[in-house]
Amino acid sequence: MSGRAIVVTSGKGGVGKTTATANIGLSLASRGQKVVLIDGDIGLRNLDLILGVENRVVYNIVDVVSGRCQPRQALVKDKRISSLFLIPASQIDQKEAINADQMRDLSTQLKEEFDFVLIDCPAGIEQGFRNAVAAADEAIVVTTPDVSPVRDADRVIGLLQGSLGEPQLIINRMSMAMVKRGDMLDQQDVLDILAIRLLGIVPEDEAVVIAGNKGAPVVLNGGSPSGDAYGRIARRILGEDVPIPELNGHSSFAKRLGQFIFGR
Amino acid sequence: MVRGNHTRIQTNEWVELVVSQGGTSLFSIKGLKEGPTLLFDDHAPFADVVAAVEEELARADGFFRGSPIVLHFGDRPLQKEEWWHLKETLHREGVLLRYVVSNDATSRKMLYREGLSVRESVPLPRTEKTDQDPLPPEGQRASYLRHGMRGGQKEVFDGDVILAGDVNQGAEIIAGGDVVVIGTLRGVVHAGYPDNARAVVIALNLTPLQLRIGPLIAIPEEGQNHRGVLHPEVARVLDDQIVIEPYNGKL
Repeated sequence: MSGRAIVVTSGKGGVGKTTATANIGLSLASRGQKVVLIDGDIGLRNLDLILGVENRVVYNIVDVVSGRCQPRQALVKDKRISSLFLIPASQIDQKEAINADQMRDLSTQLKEEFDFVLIDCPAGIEQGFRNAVAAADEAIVVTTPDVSPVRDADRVIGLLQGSLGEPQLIINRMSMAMVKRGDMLDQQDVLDILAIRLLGIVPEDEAVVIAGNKGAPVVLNGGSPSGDAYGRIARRILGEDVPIPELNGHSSFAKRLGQFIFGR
Repeated sequence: MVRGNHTRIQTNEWVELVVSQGGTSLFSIKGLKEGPTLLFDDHAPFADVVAAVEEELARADGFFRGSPIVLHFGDRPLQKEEWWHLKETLHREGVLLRYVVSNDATSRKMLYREGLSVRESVPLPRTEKTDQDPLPPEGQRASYLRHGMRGGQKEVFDGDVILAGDVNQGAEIIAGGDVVVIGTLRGVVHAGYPDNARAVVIALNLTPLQLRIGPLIAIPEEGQNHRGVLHPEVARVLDDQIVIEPYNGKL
């Protein structure tokens, strides 16, 4: 079996890469996929916190590539879904503790056993980025609808096209209210500039912040707008043709009514 | 640390500096009309070459900083990681690239995807000096790019540049002649570099951050967002000023 290795990247920090990685991973796993998340942000470990498994971490990725442990010893099993695993980043090493070849080997090894290897890429376009990209076959670029993340995403897409082909885009933290007021780029502005395939739009949602602090990603509590958006993104990754409701503005009352009446 | 040997060859046409190590030549620097050109040996281990370049640049003490140079990779099949390694070194020393040359098709493709201006062969030592207008006659030298440009990518070409796609913010085109963008121009363009004020810039949507033609620089007003509607415009120099007007199919 050979799984898909997907890097989640953005260029800019703070746009929600780690949250996206955790939520997509959980969504895929809850749909029966065997998923491993790799925290590629060596030195700044976060993914374990978002998943709420920080107390289960024993070994980390630097231990694996330097041969201090076997890859399966470093796999931290999720406490909710048994087909989801995490390889945590090291909190004490530097980005240079790992090179691109080692990441590639690790990912090849993991793909034998997992359907999905999701790599959470560090911010920036330096060594950590190159390592994360080297390990991947596909890429997801996350941006928020703000001018500087969009510009950085554009730069990253340019770099990725040299090695991985065309990435797919997630627009995170879309605030329909601000778009309506004209205070924010809307999805079409972002797509005009970045011109790559849209994988999904995640609305601005307070639940994400709460979930991150609690270590219980939003996809776990059904009914939150962002959790539902990640669920749809996971289905699209699995090849389902799921419409992007956020693309046509907002979930208006009339639409909700229609959904209620027609049962979808 | 590489301790290179240096041999300086001087002829009427060019100056050549050969850097070698233990009898193996690593690379040479030629002063050509295109600017300083680094020619890499086809067979020397690339890590040695990069180390030698690094040392040479350190020795040159900023001489190459800011002046665009040409890289000639010869027949060497260049790996992307090797290029990144070299790029880092050049970047650290503040060396700018004019274009790169490679005779290897795979390497050319890789370098091209890395956003570089790539050529197949460089006109090596010229036998005659031309003191005329460095620009080739109109339409005789054009570079056609069948892709857009993203932030951080740069295209430098000493003729006209035609590009099918968008030029995004943070991307840069420097052309000796005209620049035609069949798409939206949001980045920075310098047409008629360095001093050809007859050059024009045409784009289906002309909303650049900054527009330079020959010796002039213009900062266009914040453009309207023509979403989905194309407003072809042409920028040219009239009375020592860059003016932008609608493009109606003729200049």
